[in-house]
Amino acid sequence: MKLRSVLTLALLLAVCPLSAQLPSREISARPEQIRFEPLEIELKDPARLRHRLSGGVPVYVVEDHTLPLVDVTVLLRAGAVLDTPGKDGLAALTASLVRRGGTAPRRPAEVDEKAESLAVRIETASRNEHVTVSLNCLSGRLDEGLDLLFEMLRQPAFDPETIELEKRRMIATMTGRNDDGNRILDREWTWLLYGRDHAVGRYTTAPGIASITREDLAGFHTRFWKPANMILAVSGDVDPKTIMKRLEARLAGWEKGKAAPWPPAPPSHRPTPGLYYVDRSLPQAQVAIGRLGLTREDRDRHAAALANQILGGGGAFTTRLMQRLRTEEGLVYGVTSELDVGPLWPEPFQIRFAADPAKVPQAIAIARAELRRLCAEPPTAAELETAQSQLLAQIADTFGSARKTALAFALGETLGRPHSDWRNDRAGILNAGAAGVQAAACRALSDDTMLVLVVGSWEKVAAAEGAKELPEPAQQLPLRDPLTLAKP
Amino acid sequence: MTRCQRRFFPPGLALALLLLPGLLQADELRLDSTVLRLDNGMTVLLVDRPASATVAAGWVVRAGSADDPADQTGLSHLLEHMLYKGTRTIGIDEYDRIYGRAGATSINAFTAPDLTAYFVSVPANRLELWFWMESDRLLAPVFRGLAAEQKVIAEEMRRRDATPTGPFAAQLDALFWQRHPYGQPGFGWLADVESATSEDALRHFRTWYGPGNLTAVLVGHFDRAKAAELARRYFGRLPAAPAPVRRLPPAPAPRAETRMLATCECPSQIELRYPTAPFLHADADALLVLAGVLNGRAGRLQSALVTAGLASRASAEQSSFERAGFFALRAQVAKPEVSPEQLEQTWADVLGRLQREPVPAAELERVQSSLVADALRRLDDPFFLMVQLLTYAGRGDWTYLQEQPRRIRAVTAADLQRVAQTYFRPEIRTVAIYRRAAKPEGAAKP
Repeated sequence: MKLRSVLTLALLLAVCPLSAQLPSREISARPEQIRFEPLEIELKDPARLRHRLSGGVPVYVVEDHTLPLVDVTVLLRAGAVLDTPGKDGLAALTASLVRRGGTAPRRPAEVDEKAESLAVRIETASRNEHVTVSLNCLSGRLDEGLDLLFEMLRQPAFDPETIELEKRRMIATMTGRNDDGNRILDREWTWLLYGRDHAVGRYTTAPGIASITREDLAGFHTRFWKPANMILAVSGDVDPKTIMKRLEARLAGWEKGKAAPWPPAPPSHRPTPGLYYVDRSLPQAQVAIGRLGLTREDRDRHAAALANQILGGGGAFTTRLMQRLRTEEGLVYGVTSELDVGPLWPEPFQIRFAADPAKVPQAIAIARAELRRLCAEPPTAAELETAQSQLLAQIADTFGSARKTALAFALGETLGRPHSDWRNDRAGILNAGAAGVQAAACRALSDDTMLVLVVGSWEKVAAAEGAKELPEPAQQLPLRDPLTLAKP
Repeated sequence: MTRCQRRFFPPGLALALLLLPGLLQADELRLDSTVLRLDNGMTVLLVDRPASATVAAGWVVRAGSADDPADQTGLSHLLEHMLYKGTRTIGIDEYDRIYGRAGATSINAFTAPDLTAYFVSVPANRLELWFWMESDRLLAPVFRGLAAEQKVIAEEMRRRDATPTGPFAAQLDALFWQRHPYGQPGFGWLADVESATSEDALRHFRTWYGPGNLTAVLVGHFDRAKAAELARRYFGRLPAAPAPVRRLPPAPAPRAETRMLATCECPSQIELRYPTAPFLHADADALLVLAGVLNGRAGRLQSALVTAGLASRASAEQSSFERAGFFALRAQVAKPEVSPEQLEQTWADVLGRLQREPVPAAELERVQSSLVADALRRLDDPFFLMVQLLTYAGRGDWTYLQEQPRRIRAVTAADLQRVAQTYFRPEIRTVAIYRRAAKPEGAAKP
């Protein structure tokens, strides 16, 4: 049976009554007086989109014939969690070299010329948990595009010259690590929350990258880049029967391999609340306030997500932080708060903004006061309704195109997130009441559990108005060597 | 009377693409669109995407930072901010709340030298709300909370200056454009922004924001007839006003090379800018293809600079504005031992070859196919499509989007050689060299 769900926008029916009337021909005095038609949106049933190749590889196929383009994304459980100790960056470099390092029959430059002559795009990306290789091609060139994609996947050459070039490129990127306050903040914030021992907190270093050999790369590929670790997402101008037949042919004879250890162990580090800073002269100081967030098992996750949305979700102008810090005080250009629910371990809850160093204590005080207010009083009905609409719109956007739909389901399965979560999320968001949101904020977003990190000129921050209200003691973190990440 | 002009409307298809399957030879690309011209002069472009659950909706005014008075730089950008401060009906903090409660997302705007664009994504059943809100603020905006917004813009400038090359951006623009208004900083100079008044913003609004100077674009799930009726009903109430005349001087014609030598906290890098051709000029198409020959993994910059170990990245770009354009080459050193001057010398070698020898037919065909496919890819996302249509409409002609593949195909190897010889002359270029500072400032020991 095809699952039909009155999703997202129709769910707005529950929070603001709508009429089934057509728009009137009058112009209402206020926008709230406009009457809207209900909107039904079909939620695709993942079971109907999921296919299996004969070797067991799952393939999600979502058709969309608007444009003569096809997307094929291969997701592999071969991310940084599998890096060999001391060789951080091995998984990422492997993925990069699969794309750039040539294939058995073609030199690297020949691969690029072939891709350009076919007008195909093939890109790789690597994350902690997985890597992706994506192909975008004209539907009339699908066969040739797939041939090139699977030539890369199955027969990478790991050209020695390109390995050296890639290593130099990665090291060149490292040299800029301290040039931008945001990059310093990202790194130190990750370490404060997750420590440095887990893949989440393991950053590449020049010596680590230099130690990676061609044998390491080929060995990693041979071990983990196998159908047993693979899930595919296909979307666009193609039908399931055709693509499955073509994929079957490309995977024929590829040894299934052994599944990578899964799930990876979560980080064991426990963050310590308090104020931290990196002293770095910059026109704008970068600020993070937060803690570890929630996992998908947490019963409060929907109520907490609503609390976060009301606070600063997505940097929307409707949020309390944007209203207070930007609209009323003009202290920041933008401010966001995020509370992503991690499938494997908690993602951070974090408020992020940049401000004049002399205004940082004032901005931090306002942000913390708003955190306390979330726990002290329930949100208004209008705030709750807005936050519900925004979160439901986010879910709708996750499935806003054929490509996004195929990727969302394939990524969910890769990370072990059950598809039923999407429906549970919608129900949880709609069913959370103001009291529940307040209670979740008290438990999950309590101000006294927060870490605060400032990257900026500490002399200016410490001399600013309101600096005495900052948490004590302020702990300085070193500005590390960009290539080794060692203390100076 | 309202005219409803229809363009190529095959039933049942959201887009018609007459591309020979896989071959990309007949590069006729037609958006299935309806263009309305309202009685008051406003243009409304409707592109439906039935599979979408939302409508990407926006409007653009053909005036931007180049239209700021010389002693009031940043006025277009300030006005962009102030148009979110309510109307005679809507309070200062209500605009976003009303959209937010309706499930609208991506509420935003941007100011460019030729145009200012305002846009949002609304649930498909809330399209009338968009017409209400946007026509209301065009009809009766009220500029409240100016002082806080001036502080916000100061933070926006500070944000730019906190990026490694941000502090030099305005100086480079001023060097390249000389006294031309395209060189005025989009944010404005801080003193100008701080001294601007609500009356200045209102005067700028009245000068430029008449319906004859506006184009609205909708891309998403809607019924065209209903959307057209809503457009007439809501935008039709704006009093008619003809498009004002832009007073932009001709592009500068430099007689000597200009160099900016900067010390930055960033990897050493170089940017070379050459004055070229404006939007819709045939040479701009040739320069776009020339950038394609240089860019990408199979491009000439990759082999000459990146694979050779000199640059960690290198790219070329033709920037086309309504009345002028420039071509930029940007490259960053791969390691400290390489100097920006070495990158410049290698660029001179690459350029010399482009000027001496025609690009081989196979290479040109490869680049053109890739560029045409990229043009097609850019139609995929409804929101991005809407922003592109606003941008091209703001520069003077949204149909460029569908003409681009044909224009790309029309470029010959002789065109590439000619534009390389015509525009890439050392005596007219501006060169910015950024050299890494010896040691980051403020790196204190704990």
